[in-house]
Amino acid sequence: MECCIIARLKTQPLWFALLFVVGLLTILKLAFVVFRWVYVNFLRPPKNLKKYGSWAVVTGPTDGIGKSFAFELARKGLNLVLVGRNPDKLKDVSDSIAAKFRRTEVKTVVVDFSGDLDEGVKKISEAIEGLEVGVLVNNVGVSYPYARFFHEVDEGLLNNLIKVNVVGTTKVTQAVLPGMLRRKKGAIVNIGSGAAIVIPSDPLYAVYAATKAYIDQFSRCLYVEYKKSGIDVQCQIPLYVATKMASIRKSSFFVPSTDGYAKAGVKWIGYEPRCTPYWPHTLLWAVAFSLPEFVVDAWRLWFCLGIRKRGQRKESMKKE
Amino acid sequence: MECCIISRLKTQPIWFALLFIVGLLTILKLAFVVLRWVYVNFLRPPKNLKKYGSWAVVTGPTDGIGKSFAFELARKGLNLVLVGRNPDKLKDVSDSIAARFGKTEVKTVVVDFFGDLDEGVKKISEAIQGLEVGVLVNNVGVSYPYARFFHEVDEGLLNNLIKLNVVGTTKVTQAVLPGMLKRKKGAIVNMGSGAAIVIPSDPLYAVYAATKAYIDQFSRCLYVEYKRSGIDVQCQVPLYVATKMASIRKSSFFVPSTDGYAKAGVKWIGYEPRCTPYWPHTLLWAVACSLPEFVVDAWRLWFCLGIRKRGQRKDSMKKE
Repeated sequence: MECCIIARLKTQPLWFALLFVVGLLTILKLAFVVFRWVYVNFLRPPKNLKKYGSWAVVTGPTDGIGKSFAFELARKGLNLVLVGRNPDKLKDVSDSIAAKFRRTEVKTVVVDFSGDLDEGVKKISEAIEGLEVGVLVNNVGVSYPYARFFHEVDEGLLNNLIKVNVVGTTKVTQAVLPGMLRRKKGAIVNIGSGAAIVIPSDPLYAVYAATKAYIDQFSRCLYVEYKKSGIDVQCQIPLYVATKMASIRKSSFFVPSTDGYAKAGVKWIGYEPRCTPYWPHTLLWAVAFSLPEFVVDAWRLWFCLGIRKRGQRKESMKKE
Repeated sequence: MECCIISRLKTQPIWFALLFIVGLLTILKLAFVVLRWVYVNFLRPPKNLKKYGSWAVVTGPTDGIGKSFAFELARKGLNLVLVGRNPDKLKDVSDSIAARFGKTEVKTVVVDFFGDLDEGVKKISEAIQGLEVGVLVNNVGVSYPYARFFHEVDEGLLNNLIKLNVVGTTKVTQAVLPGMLKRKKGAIVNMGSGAAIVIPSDPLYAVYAATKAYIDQFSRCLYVEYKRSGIDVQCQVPLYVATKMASIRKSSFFVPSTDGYAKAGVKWIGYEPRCTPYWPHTLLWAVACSLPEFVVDAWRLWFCLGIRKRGQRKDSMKKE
């Protein structure tokens, strides 16, 4: 067979052979991508997170993805430090986890990420003193209430977006990192968004998307900086998940429940610096990637203008 | 010829023809990329910036790229609003421009981007009241003094990086945008960096690179949001330019002087949402893009560790 192919190639003009080789390489590359996709999504075993350390810190753990991550990490046998701003909700989640996973220890730290961040980060540092924190899930984040043009973003929202999504994530990481460095092991998960990585732009969510681009690059740089120190940094990129923040109530094949997402998310901890753990999301990613940018941009603009219209209508009805 | 090719194709097995077509499409795509590259870099005429409006706002105009941009915009016939924090240097640049371009009007606004940003942005809004600001160059930015691990970044530096690069750029844009919206035309240039776009990571500059990723995505989203309003938003991605911030004194083919960069940069204003105007930089970009990520990461880590070592040595010598 091989001899036959080579013999056949030799009968062709050079340019024809060249095109054949280019085509072959392209197909081989595609095949490699597909095989690797199958492996990492369905066959690769998750890491034993307890090897990183016996504790996990989760920010924003009282709703959505953060809450589901907290439960999933408890299921994996980790003790938890829950960092959020609402003490009652923190207690509720803490009690629920303790009731369901009796051997799990849970600590709570009340931090208002919109308020005095440095004070809050100090409390986190104090709370984790002496604990072997092996996993950090930087889930805390805010988005726009609904889509709007950049000139419609008020000062409070703009400040909050940058403070919580950018400064909060950065400073919490800086608080937790020294312990991991000393023990030469740890895993950090920063929650990014498809708004910054999967689609070329998220118009009418400009500042939100930009803060998620920050988180992605921040994670990517730390991944390289600390790999030799045994610290695995990762940015997870969920697309739509049925959460309050995304205003989606019902889950579906492409829009998982938060529990469904977290189950996949925890399996990916410690691997690639950038990943979309829920595998149907990667199909959407492939579609977005294969379309020209201006098509995705136009669709997204149309989609977000619709959100803006509905959001404004809802808001004006509230004022009546 | 065509008949000959078709008849030749018909004699091949189907898989062979398929590979031929894939190869052909790949080559055609590459040819298109090259031809387009030649056009945009050497043949495409620059836009007439005065059509956007008679004034340009430049932040960080007293050194490096910002200063050269200011001179280049004056050469194109625009009046200037220079926004910086050092009043003496602002006056120097203002006087130099007035001396060289007699017909250019120059206003200066003293804003301490490290201090009360909201107060500073208010002063900018007041200064541009009534002016037809057609161009905004968001050049203000700060980097690390030299490479360091994230856990070595002190609180002051971290706060400054986010405040200037993220909050500063965002709020200045928000101050200038309404005027452009009213007149339905304008061009905004945000200065990004190869640290966030060209190479997959810039280890030991994590927060700086992340802030530049923010700026890139911010620009990309605004580009889509405001294209229909006649406002062209762009993120320029310089690689190495001979500036004080980059600690490079001498220019070369791949490392232009700030004047050389600005001349190219101004020609690109109003076009692609993301661009590297200085064409030799695009060759470096092509190299970086064609190499596997882990190779670029490893090289960059080695390179930055060298900067860190030299920086620390210099620091310790100062303390003696």
